[in-house]
Amino acid sequence: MKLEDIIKGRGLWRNLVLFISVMGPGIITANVDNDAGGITTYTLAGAHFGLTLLWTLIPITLALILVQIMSARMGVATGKGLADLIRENYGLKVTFYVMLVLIPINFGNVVAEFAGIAAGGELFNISKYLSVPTAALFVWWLATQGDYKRVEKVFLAACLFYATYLASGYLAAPDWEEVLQATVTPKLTWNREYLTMLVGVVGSTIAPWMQFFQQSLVVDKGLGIKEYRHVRLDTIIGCVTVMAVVFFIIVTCSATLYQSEIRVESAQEAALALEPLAGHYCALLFAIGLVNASLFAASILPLSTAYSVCEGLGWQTGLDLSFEEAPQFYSLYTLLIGAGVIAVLWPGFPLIKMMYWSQVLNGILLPVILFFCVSLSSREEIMGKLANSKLFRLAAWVTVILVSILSLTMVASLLVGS
Amino acid sequence: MVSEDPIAPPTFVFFADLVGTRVLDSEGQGVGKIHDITFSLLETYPKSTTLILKSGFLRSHYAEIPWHQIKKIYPQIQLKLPAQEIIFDHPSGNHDLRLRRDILDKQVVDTNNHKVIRVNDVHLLEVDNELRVAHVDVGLRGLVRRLGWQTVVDFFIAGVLPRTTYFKERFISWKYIQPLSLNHKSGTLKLTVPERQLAQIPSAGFREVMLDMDIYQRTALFKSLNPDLRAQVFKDFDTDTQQKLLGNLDLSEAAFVLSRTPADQATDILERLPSPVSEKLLSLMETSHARKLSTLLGYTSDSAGGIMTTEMITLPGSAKVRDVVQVFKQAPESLEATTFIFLTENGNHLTAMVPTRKLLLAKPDDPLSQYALAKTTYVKVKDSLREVAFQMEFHKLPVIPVVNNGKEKILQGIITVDDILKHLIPIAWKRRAKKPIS
Repeated sequence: MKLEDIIKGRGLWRNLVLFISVMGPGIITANVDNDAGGITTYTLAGAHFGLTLLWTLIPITLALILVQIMSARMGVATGKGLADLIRENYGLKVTFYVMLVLIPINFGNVVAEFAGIAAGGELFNISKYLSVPTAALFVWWLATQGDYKRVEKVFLAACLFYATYLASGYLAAPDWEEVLQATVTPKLTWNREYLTMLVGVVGSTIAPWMQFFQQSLVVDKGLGIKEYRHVRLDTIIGCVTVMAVVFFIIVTCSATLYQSEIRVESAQEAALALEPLAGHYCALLFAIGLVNASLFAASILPLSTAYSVCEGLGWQTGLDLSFEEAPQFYSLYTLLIGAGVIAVLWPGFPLIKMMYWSQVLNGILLPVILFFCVSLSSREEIMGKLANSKLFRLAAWVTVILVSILSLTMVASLLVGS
Repeated sequence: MVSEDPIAPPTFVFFADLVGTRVLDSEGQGVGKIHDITFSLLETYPKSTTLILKSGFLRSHYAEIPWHQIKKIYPQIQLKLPAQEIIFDHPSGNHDLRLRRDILDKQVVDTNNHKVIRVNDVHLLEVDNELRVAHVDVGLRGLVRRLGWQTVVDFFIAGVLPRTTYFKERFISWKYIQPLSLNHKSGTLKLTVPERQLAQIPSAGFREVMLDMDIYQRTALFKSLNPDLRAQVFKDFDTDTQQKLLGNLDLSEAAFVLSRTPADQATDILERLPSPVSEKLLSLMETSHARKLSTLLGYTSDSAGGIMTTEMITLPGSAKVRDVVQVFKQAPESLEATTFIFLTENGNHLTAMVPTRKLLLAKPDDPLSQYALAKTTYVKVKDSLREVAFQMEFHKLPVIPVVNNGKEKILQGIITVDDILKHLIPIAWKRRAKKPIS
């Protein structure tokens, strides 16, 4: 009999202690999901469509939980990252082209984060030529700390800042009865703009980098089958809290901007417009939330990308290695941050065009990654006891097909719309 | 086996190029594609044993063909069997190495360079109608070759960077390769390199390699090692990793590892376990070692007794210099504190301490006590860490003996400067952080 089976204990206290030590990957991944791009989408959803999109949050939450649980479970069951698993089971060619698509997508996200920092800084009258390079240095410094345990605490603390959106929602004083009604009553409006926004909300909530990222966090933390129950709880808490934040963003913007029929096109315009409508604090909290979200995601995306790509192609990874030991890893990491800064600060950079293609690729890659996730996590020779049950597999396929249809619809509408 | 073409020289072929190529039956008709090849691990350079054939497009069927049924490899694999004699989908009881399942695109250990690497391709040698695994390819060029871009990329790189190292293939001889594919049932892996070769990896290298693996590979490799090697690599890990590694062993195996681990590390681990488990482990160890550990476990971690180790060199007061040589010859490699020898008399009473350095020029017959320090400094088991640090600093000692609390000065253990630093540094840092900025 194995020693760890003898030790295994129960009891609420022991479980709580264990949960606190396991907590992190799910909560952090879900919160990074609410990055600058996400917040912009949700802001516009609330500002342009009021409460009419609120009901979609419940099915989106369920889909998000399902997808993220699959990733977490793969990490726990195999001890390997998603890029590793794709390489080992689908071969080099598939991995290479997936990575080739993942890099520009994640670069698009990194640029969006830096743009979010620039915009957020300007709300506080800080020039982007100061805020963006400072943020880049901070991001780089945080990563080179190397001690993941400490960095994780910083990230978990950053998650708390999202509470600012909850506070803005409260300060915006919506009609709560109406909000509740809109949340539980599914009502689809069949017009092009509404559907595009719906697809946009789904697309910014479920993104391919998240699967890579959460799985690698689980693996880095050395979590195994024993900890699975707690990993799952961590994932569910993360997804639910993050969707609560989305809920409050939509409610805030609906109660203020939509009611007053103010047309905004970005999160920072929204923050500015909030001030006369909902008061100084509401706008301030909204702006702090935006900066925090951008900085948070900017710290994570370049690193996560470098890890996934190098793992998949079999190059050395790790911040504890020197540049000579892991040249590809460091080059890619530095390139993503450096080019991200340039893209935001250099006026001649085709920013809009790049974001557009990054979104298109994102929409194409998502179905592929989700397909890999479901089929890998259903295979018993890979997952052992943690392979998807029949029921879960059915639910997963249905979800994946629905999300894929929406995702490809977005791609089509982007390509046609341009 | 007689080769069809006796003048054909031995040639190398890449495994990835073979996978998916068409296989002909004895009549020259296509019967399927190569899915995988199995190799016998009995030899240093494994020999091909069966060919796994895949047929069907949407629903695949597999057949395992023994290698002696293969008529020729070049230019296309042809079987001696007619198509109707090939049995698809019969269960295979074959436990040989399967290149595609176990090696290609997987992680392996390069035991020569102490690294975990990913295999881009496998280099096979074709001799007498048989294949043997010769090298694994881990280079960039191998990667490009498999992507099918070699001609373009080679041409481009040769034009732009003619002196690059890109063209130097990175092959690693199979004899250094340890696969990491797990046997899921037993949770172990099959060692292909001899344990004596693994034992030669310096312990720091072994640690690096094991930390590069995923948690399941790490515990599987640890479990697959023989008990001695296991104990040898165990002491280089931090307490968290040690606890995880130990968790996958059964009680008696764990007790064996702990009995070979330095006493201060072993107590750190035992302290973290629920007491029924640690008592059980202690009961399984040799009595003398177990007694030592349970004494150590009795002290609080902020006292001299809590951080001391019981591994030291003690000799009777009447011992001669030659006895020291004998002791050093027999001492286990794990013994760290060798700078001093402690002299004791009737019932472990500490009488003197002798710096080993002074013995370099001593004659074998000299009594040891002749070289002892004029004054024997010691601390008591209940003394605070601050007191220990103060005494060591004041007397400029790298090691200090610890005696019991009574008046008899019975030697209990020693504390090295490393042990005390490990405990004082965190306190010092905290204090520095609290200091107001002036």
